[in-house]
Amino acid sequence: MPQQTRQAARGGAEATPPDSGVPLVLGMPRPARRPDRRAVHWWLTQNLLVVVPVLAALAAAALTPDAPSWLWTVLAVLCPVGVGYALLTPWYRYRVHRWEAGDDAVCATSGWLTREWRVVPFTRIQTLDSRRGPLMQLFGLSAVTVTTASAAGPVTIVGLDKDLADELVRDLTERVRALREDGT
Amino acid sequence: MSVRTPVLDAPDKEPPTAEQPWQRLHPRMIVVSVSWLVGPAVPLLGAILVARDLLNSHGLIVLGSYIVVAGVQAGHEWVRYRTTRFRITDSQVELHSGLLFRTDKSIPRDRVRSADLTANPVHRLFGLAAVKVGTGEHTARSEDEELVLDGISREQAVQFRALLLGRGAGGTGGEAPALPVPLARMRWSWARYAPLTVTTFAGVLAVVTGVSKLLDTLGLDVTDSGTARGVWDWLSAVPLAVAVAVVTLVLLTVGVAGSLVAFTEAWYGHRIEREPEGALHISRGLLTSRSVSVAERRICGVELSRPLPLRLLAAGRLSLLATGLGGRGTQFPGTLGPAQLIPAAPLNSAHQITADVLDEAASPITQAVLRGHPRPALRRRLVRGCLLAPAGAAALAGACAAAGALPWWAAPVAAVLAAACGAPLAVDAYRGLGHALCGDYLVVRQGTFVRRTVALRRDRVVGWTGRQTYTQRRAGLCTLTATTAAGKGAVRIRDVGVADGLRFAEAALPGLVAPFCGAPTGPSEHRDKP
Repeated sequence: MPQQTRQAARGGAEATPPDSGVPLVLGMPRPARRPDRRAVHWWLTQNLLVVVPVLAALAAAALTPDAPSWLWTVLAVLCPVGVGYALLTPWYRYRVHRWEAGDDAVCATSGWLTREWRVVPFTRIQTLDSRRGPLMQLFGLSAVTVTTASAAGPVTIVGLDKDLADELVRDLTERVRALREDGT
Repeated sequence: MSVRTPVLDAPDKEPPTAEQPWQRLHPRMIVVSVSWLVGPAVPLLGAILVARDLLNSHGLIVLGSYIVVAGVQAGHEWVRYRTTRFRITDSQVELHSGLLFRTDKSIPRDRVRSADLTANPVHRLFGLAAVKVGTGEHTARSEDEELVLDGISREQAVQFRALLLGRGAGGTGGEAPALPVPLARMRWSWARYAPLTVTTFAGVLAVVTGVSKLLDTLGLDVTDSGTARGVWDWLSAVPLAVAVAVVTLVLLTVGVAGSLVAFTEAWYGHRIEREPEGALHISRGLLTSRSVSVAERRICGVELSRPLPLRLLAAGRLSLLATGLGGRGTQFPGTLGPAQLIPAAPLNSAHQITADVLDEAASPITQAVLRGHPRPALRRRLVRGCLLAPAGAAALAGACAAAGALPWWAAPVAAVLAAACGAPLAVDAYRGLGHALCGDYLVVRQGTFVRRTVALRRDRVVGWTGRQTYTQRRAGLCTLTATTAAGKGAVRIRDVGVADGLRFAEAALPGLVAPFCGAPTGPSEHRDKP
C-alpha cells in the first residue's frame, strides 16, 4: 500500500526514475551541517546564568537560622538535577541541532527533549533576520531566522559563527531573488 | 542587535507617479462616534426635566461632566476627521492620521488580500461603513499588517473594495460588468442546529448571571418580591422531580430562544457569491452587517468542523482558509469570525458549498480516502483518556474530599467515571485521525470533541515542520505540520508514523523534505532539473 501511493504521487509529479530518488523508508531529516563549537559554551553559559542564581538563592534561604528543614531536601534534589541540566544539555543540543541550505530549501533541527525539524523552500522565504544578543556577541555567534508568510513556521538557526551567518544571509538573499526573477 | 533583510519587496520601491487626490472620511462620522453618548443622555435629561425644581449641585456636576465628556469626544472626532486622509494610488493604499502622533500607513496594492466591510446599526442609520484592508502577512513580530478606514460612506466603501480587489485579482480587461454568481444562501431550516452549540449553555449562564447582577445592582432582593416568593413556594410544594424538570425546561427555553436570536442576528441575509473578477464575497448580519471579499488567489482551502452534538446529526460548520482572514482572535470557538462560510448545516450542503467555493467538481473532503494512523497513536490516546484524565479527576475530587466538601468515596468514583467516558472518547479520537492527498489538496482530519477536517491546497503549503516529544520518539510517531499563510498558519497532522508522515510530506511537495532525510543517493543529482 505505501509502495503504491508513493509511486503514484511521484509518477504524477515528475519524471524521476522510480527506483532512485526517495528511499522507501525515510528517517527524520538530518541536515548536513552542525552549529559552531562555541555554541556549546554559549548554551552552557546561558544555562548557568539561570541555574546558579536559583540554587544560590535556595541555599541562602536554607542557611538562614529559622529555615524549614524540608528546604534542604529540596536543595538536595534540585542540585544534581540543575547541575546535570546545565552541564549536559548543551552537549546533547550540539548533537541534535543541525542545519543545511540545500538546493531548494533550508532545513534546521533543534531541541533536546522535544525535537523539531523545519523545512522552508526558498521560493516561500519573505524575510531573513540575523540576530545577535549580548551573550552571543561575547562568543562571536549569531542566529539567523528565516520567515515565511505563515505565522507558525519561521526557521531559526542558532549558534552560527557570525561571519558564516552574514554569508548565509547574503547567499540566501541572492538565491531567493534570483529564483523570484526567473520564476515568475 | 538585529538585522532584517526583506526579500520580498526589495526591487520595486519607486514613488507613486500619478498624483491621486487625497480623500477624507465622511463628516457624519463625527455624529456616529458621539452617538454612544445618547444612551446615558436620555435618562439624564429625563430625570432633570422631571425633577427640575429639585436640581441640586450634585445634579449640576453630573450634567456638567456629561457636557464636558461629549465636548471632548466630539472635539477628538473632529480632529480625527480633519487629520485623516487616505488615497489609492496606482501602487499603494495610503492612510495618514493623527495630530500629535502622526501615523502614516501604506500597503502596496498587490499585497492587499482582503477587504472587509462592516457597519454597526448606527453606521447603517447614517449610511456609513468601515473598511478593513488586510494583507494577511505576518511579520516576524507576528502582527498582521492592516489598515482600517472607519467612517466612509457606504457607496464609497463598496467602490473602494471593488477597486482594491478588482486590481488585486489581476484585472479582467474592460468587459461589460458581469453579475456576481450566487453560490449559496442561508436556509431557515439550518436554524434547527443553532441551539446545539456550546453557546446555548453559555447563553443561559450569561442570562442568569446577568439578571441576578442587575437585581443586585438595583438593590432588589428577590426574596422580598411576592411573585418570586410564590414561585419558590410552588416549587418547594411540588415533588422534586417535577421542580427540576420545570426549571430545566425554563432554562432550556431561554437557551434555545437566545441561540435562535443570536443565529438570526448573525446569519440573516447570508449569501456567498462569486464576483466576476473571481473574488469570493460573503455577506450576512441583521443589525451589524458584515461583508467580506476575498480575492480568488487568496483562497487556500476550507475547514469543516463538527462538534460532538452536530456529529450525531450529520451536520457541520464550514470555515474558509484564506490568507488575510481569520487569524488569532477571530477563530476561537463560539465567535463568528469573518472566516466562517456557513452556520451549522447538513453535511450535504456543506460539501456542496465546499466544492463551489473551491471551484472543484466535488469536495476534496468527500473524495479523499483517509489513511489512518498507527496503533501507538491509539495507545497515546488511551493513556490520556484512561489514566491521565481519571488521575486528574481523582485528584480534584480528592482535594474536595480533603476539604470536607465531598465524602471520601468521591475520588475513586470520579476516577471510574472519567475512565468510563475517557475510553470511548480515546477510541473515537483515534478513529478520527487521518490524512490523505486528494488531487491538489491535502486533507487532514482529527479531533473528538470537535472533529475538524481541513482541505488545504498543496501549493499553499509554505513549509513543513515535524515535532517529536520524548514519548512520541519512543513510539515512533511525530506531529507533522504544514505551515501556510492562511488561518492560524498551520495544519497539524498529529501522531503520524515517522516514515509515513515524511512520505506524505514528500508526496505533497516533491523534492522538499527528502534531500534532508539522508537519502542514500546524492540529493543534488535529481533536484537540479525542474
